[in-house]
Amino acid sequence: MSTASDNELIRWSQAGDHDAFGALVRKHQRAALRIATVTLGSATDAPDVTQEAFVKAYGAIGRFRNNERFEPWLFRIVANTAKNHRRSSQRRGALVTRAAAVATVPESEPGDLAIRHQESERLVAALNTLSYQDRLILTYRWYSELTETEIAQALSCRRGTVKSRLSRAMSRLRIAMEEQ
Amino acid sequence: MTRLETQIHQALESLVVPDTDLVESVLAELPLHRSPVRHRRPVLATAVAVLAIAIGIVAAVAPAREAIADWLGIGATELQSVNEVDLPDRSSVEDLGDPVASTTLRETQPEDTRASVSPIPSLGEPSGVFDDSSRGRSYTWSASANLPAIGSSDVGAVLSVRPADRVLSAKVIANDVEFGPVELASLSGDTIAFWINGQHVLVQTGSSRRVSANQVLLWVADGVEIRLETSLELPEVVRLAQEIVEGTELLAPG
Repeated sequence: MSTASDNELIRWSQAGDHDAFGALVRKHQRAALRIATVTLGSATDAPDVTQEAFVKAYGAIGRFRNNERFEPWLFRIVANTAKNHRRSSQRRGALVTRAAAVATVPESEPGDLAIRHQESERLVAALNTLSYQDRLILTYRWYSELTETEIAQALSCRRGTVKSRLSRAMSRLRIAMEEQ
Repeated sequence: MTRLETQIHQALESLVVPDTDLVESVLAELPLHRSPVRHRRPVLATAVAVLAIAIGIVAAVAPAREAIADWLGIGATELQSVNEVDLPDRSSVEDLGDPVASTTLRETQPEDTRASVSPIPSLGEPSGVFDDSSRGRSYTWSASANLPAIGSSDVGAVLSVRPADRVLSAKVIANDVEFGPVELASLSGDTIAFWINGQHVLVQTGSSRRVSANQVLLWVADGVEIRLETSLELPEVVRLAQEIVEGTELLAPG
């Protein structure tokens, strides 16, 4: 099961094989948790939201088209679930880097690594000022490395609008970084 | 990658993301759900066969016609099946009501959805929005290469929404027009919609307004009747409809 492809796991899941779906969860939960975190703007509720999204994905897997990649389809479900959770939840947190969470900087940390940490914190602070839609498209493009078509699928938009949306998100990110 | 793009990647990599293993908790919830196995038989063919038998038995009896409408569950619309139908010259696209200003539409959306005010994201923003006391709120999209025109109009799609709590109109369908239930799978569960695969007549209850309508997909979600009219074939219409099923909170019934 651990070496099965996504398509095989999906086919078995469609036939009602819970173990196969569990293997899909295991393979993709980290990526899904990241999408939930980015959409929510905080890690706090990401596990609950991601769990709910996987359960929804199981219910909808009968209509998954096996010639597509699983992650864009899954990410769409995760992002929609997180979006709905944002609407109903009063809680607002912030994205945090691992270095900031530890709240110490090792004295022996090489200079370039320390600079990279500072850059990341500055960038994450800027990301925290953006809308979740902007954070999502930036994540899909520069972290999840989805293609334009896959981003369109994940965002339920036309392929032609992905470039303009991405361009606007990048502009807003640059402005936010300048204001830091 | 540019330097900024690399920095974005590194920043997203550095985010605190929960390290939770969700497998057990997800699997624990699965037995409560229906099997995800797709129906392999076309739902429409089976449903139409059943419907044809039902209509054959009860067509002439008015109370039974209501029973068919209830059985089919199509909200504010009654279905009438007749041998032949005279299609009016006036099209349903010309009978949508009063135009609504786009700024008004934008103001009715929740703040974090104003970036996209389209009920069908893949079609983009509607070219027109209309309100009518009987037809409810209607959104139109212009015809294009991927969205063939409805009849001789320049409209490619009409989405109408209204409360489903009372009968407001009837669809009069000739016997040679195929219609029946279609399953819309959504993230919140399955919905049964009704597909009318051809031209038919739309009559507003209590008025003389009769217009011709094209292919229509009709369903009820959260007490709202949703009607999608296009010139597209069923698979493409279902794809559009499933975008709406998953985002009905964007709709503001007229």
